[in-house]
Amino acid sequence: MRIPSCRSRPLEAAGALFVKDLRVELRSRMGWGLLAASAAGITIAASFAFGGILPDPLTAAALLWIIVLLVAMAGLPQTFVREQEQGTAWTVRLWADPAPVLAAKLCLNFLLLLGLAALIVPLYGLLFNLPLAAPAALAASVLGGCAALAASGTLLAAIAAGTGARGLLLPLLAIPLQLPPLAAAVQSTATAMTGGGGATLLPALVLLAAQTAVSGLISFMLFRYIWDEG
Amino acid sequence: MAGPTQVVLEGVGRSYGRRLVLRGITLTIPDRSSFLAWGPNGSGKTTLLAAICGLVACTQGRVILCVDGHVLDAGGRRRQLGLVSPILGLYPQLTAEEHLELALKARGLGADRAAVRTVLGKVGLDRRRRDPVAEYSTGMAQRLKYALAIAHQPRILVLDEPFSNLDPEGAGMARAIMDDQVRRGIVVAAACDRGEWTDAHTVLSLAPA
Repeated sequence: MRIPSCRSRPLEAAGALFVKDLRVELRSRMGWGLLAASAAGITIAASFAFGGILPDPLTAAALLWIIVLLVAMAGLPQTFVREQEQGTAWTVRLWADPAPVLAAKLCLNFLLLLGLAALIVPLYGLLFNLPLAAPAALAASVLGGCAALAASGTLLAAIAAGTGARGLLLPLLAIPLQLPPLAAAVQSTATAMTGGGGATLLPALVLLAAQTAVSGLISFMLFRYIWDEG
Repeated sequence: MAGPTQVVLEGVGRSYGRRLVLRGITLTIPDRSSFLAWGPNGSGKTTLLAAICGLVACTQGRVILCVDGHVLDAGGRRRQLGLVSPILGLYPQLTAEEHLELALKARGLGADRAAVRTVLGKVGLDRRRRDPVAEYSTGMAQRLKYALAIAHQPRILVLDEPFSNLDPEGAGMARAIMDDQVRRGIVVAAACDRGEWTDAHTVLSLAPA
């Protein structure tokens, strides 16, 4: 048998962990399908509640991101909670350094949010009859918002699962951590909905990118302690 | 040429709140030897093994693992330790082959398909390598844990209840793996029954706190 080489390969480790997380999610009976159904249900319920009419782009953008956040808060913690409940958190701790574990979970949550947004945004546009003035700008806003929410949401999920107090702790921590990226996402989406591009959209996108970077950096700095003590 | 391997426990203790599970364990497990901690349920066997593996922090003392004369850091521990334990969960959605590839890649090691098949053959799972673990019996899951513990050829093999859920043939496989490991490193094991493994060079009896 060939003796495995002992070089450290963090990117390959993160890739393998991401593929594992994706396989586990896609092969689970209760998972992303249920979240997609919830997303569609909440969006349709919102359109009934507002009679399919929204007063202005800012309200439209705010309601859109509230729906994304609601579904995300149910889905993002699952990746860590599942590891705790299956007893595989010990297994992953034994095998992998914390940084690749976090990188894999971040990528998975970003993918989950993108998938949810890909379902919610067109359905929302259709139900509220929103004009698609600047599709590229809207796509950039959604992409930036998903990245920012994934960065802060993944850390929140790790804290909540690690401390075993996810029922109460997650919502309490979520408000200060999720509010800034949510506000920036609403702002940039509202700008995109009014057809604003380039110069008007850029500051909001830069703010989202900065929040993603800061949340990501803090996550990588703290995760070792949360994960190892979990 | 590989240097000596050593496991050193210096006054190791662990408490959960006010409950003291382990207290002042001091011993050295030398290279090419085996160690057995035995005692009834609740005597701290699993905690001791988890502390050796770095999965549980010691509240007193410390554990030092040396391989080739170097003290292992967290990364080194991941690459030089193999663990079979009931606390390690498996992914019901993944196959044995996927588990093995993941275990090697997550440790930053290369995952060679042929090597993976060789290891699975060694534990008798080669023919079921593409079945999801959800379809495995508890004995097969235990065999897979052995494969995962030895795939990266660790210098220190840690076994919690090494023969649990194994049929006679599986127990024979486990003994062969333990004998092979003693020839090239260290075996640390824990069991409820002292007579379960009489070949250990050093034995520690643990009593419930």
